[in-house]
Amino acid sequence: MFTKLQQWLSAIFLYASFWLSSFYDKLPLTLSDPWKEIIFASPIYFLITFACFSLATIGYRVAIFNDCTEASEELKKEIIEAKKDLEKKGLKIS
Amino acid sequence: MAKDKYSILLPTYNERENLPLIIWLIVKYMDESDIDFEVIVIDDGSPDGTLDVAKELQKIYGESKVVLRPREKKLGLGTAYIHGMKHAKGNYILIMDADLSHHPKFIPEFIAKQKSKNYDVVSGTRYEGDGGVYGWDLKRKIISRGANFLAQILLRPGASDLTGSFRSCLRRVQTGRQRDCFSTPRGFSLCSLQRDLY
Ligand SMILES: Nc1nc2c(ncn2[C@@H]2O[C@H](COP(=O)(O)OP(=O)(O)OP(=O)(O)O)[C@@H](O)[C@H]2O)c(=O)[nH]1
Ligand SMILES: [Mg+2]
Repeated sequence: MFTKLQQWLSAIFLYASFWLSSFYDKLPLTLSDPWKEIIFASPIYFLITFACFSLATIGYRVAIFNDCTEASEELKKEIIEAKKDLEKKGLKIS
Repeated sequence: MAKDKYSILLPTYNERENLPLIIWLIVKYMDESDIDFEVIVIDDGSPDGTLDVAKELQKIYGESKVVLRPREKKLGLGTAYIHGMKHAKGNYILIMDADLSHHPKFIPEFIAKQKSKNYDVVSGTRYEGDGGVYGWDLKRKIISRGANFLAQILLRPGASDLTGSFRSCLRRVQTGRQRDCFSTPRGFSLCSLQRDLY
């Protein structure tokens, strides 16, 4: 069983070693220049994609965040009812 | 088979206004659904006299319904749960906030959900379905959503609300494993989730 931290570290390590070995031409493949450029810039691509994705997701979720106005109204009524009933039952709050 | 009993843990700190209301609501909805329960109030020496109010409530509802397990001073929410759990007589534990953030009307739904597939843990959420918040401004919503988003990505816990409403949760009493879950005060919800879901 791996912890989440270990999972993240191994993923980052894998990616970093892949990126570094392509950077120093140590990969056992012959890559054309455009491919190398893509790999070289890939961290930035990832970052930008992730940033856009995050912003969109968070923005959307903030927008659909439920405002429980009805529930709040209902609760207010119940609170009044509760206070009356508790007083009847003899609750003394000085 | 004996009837199930639910121990509702209510940690309180300066909740003298809210405590009578939350207990009244709990009694109302539990009686409506004919559920056997006890409320365990864990007050951490609130300076506003929450404990006195709790004693009054105990007189009204009886010592078997309202159980008082006060502590001398403010020791934190996490340990309050452990403390309350040690005294729980029910075969199910239910935890919720005493400040009316979690409405007792959902307790029967929690129980029905738990029974439907014999779940180990059932938790509420602010982020999905009918869940939600009230009186939050944009900034607070953004922070909440942002933090939740990060937590979801980093931890992939398989539960939608770790920090808040996981405090409103229902779980079966288990032996051994359970106790050591609840070791860190605030990180408690994360930690118990990890152990239960993986
Ligand atoms: N026994 C005990 N209860 C506590 C302690 N701190 C908080 N509580 C209770 O735990 C519940 C939740 O605490 P809150 O302070 O409302 O925490 P929160 O909901 O995350 O924050 P808010 O946005 O301020 O509502 C309430 O019922 C409090 O009374 C503590 O140190 N000891
Ligand atoms: Mg609260």
